[in-house]
Amino acid sequence: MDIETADRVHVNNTPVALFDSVERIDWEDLPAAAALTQRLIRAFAADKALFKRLLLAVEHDPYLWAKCEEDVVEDKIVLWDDVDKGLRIRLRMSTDHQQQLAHNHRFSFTNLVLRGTYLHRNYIARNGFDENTLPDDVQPVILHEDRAGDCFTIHHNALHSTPFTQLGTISLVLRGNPVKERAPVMFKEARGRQEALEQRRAASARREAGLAETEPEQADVGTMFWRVGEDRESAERRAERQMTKAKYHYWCEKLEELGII
Amino acid sequence: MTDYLDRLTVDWNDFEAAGEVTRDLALRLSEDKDTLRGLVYAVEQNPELLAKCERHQLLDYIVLYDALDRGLRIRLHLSTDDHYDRPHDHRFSFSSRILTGGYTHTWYHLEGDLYDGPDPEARQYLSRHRPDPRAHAQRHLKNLTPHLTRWESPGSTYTLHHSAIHTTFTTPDTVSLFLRGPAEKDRSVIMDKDTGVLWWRFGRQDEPEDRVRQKSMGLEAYREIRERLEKLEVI
Repeated sequence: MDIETADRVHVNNTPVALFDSVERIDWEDLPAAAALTQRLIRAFAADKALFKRLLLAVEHDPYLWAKCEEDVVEDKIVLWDDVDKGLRIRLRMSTDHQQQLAHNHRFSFTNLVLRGTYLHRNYIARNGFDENTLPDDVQPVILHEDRAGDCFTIHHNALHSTPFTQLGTISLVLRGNPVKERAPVMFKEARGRQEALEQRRAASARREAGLAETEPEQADVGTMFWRVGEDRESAERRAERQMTKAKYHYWCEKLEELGII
Repeated sequence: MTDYLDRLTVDWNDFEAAGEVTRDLALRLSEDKDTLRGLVYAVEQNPELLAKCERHQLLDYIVLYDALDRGLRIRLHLSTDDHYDRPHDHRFSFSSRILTGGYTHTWYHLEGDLYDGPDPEARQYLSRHRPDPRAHAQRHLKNLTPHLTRWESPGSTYTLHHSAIHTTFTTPDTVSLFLRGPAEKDRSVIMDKDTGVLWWRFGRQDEPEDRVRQKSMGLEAYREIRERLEKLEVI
C-alpha cells in the first residue's frame, strides 16, 4: 500500500469531480495544455460553490496553508495542489502598486483575470536573460490590455510582466510543476526610487556577489533577483512570508463581497 | 474624430507610447460607429484607398485611412472562411482591436536570428507554392516554440512589435481594427508548420505586378465586404 504523503492528503480527502475528470497535464505541449487548462480554470471560476468550498478549506490543510504568502506587492492563497497531475491552483491578489518586472518562470501556467485590468507585456531578450542582462537588452514586443475574463497560457521560458497597477486586481492561476529551481526577475521600472538610488552604489558589488533570492522592497531599473521555490527558502524566510490567519479571513470575506466566490 | 485623425502623429520609435496612442484610438473608433461607417463608405470615392484594399487567403482588408508619413494607416480586417495556424511577423508594428468574432492568438519564440542583413534571393520565394528551399528555412521552422496562447474576443486590444512572431487562428466573420505604423524592414516571414515550409512577404512596391494584381480587392469585392460588415453590425 502506498504511504499517503502530505501533498496527497487534501487531494485524496477532497473529492472534486472537475479535477478527477482530467489526466496528468502535459505542459510540454503548450497548445494542448492551454486548451485543457483554460477550459478547466474557467469551469472552476464559474463554479462558485466549489471555489468557496476549496477556499474555506485552505486554513485547515497544513500543506496548502504553508504555501499561502504575503509578498511585497501581492498575496497568494493556494487552493489546490495535485503534483501528480501538474495542477496547482492559486489566487493572486494585488496589495500595492506594482512595477514592471520582466521575468520568466519556474513552471508553465494558465492565468484567468477575475477582476481589474492591467497592461501585460511580453519581452524579447536578444542575448538571453540572466544575471548579466542589461535593462535595454529586454524589449517589449507585445503590449496586451488584459481584462477581467481574459485567460492566457504561458511557457516557463517566456519573458513577461503583469504589473497589477490597479489595486484590487485579482487573478486565478493554474500552474504546472516547476521545471527549474529558480527564475530571474528584472525591474524595468524603479520601486521606491529615492531609496533605490541611495542603494545604487552597492548594486554592482552585489551583482558580483550573485543575485539575491528575495524580492527587494526598493529597486532601481535593472535590478535583478531570483524567484525561487519554497524548498530553497530558509525557515525564517518562509515564516516571514507566511500569510496570517487575519489576512486570510479578510480575503475570504472580500472575495465573497466581490461576488468571486 | 476625423479632425483628430488629421492632426495625429504617431512615433513608432517609441513603441510603448505609439501603442498607447493607437490602442486608445482603436477604442474610440470602436465606440463611434458613425465615424467608422463614414470611413468605410468614403473608400468607394477614394481611388487611392481603394487601390490599397487587398484580398488574401486568410483575410480581406479595407484601408480606411492612410497617413503613413504621420505614422498611421488604419485598416479593417475581415477573416475569410480559411483558417490556418501560420506563424508570421510583420514589416511594421501595429495595434489591433477585435470588433466581432475572435481568434486563438499565439506568440512564438524563435531561437536564433531571422534577419541577417539584406537577402535579395528571398524575393524569389513569395508563396506557399514556391517556398524558400534553403537550409535556414528548415532551421527556423524547427526553432519555433509557442510561448503564449490566448483567446482574443471582442474588445481585446493589443500592440505587436514588428519582430514578434505570432498566429491568429480565426473563426469566420472575425472583424478587427488594425492600426499600423510605417514599414521597418523590407520583408516579413510566414511559415506553415504542417507542410514545413517558409516564405516571405514584401511591400507592394517590391512585389511583382501579377502578385499585386492578384491580391487587389477591386470595387465589386469592396461592396460585397461592406455589405457583410453591415450584416455583422460592425458599421
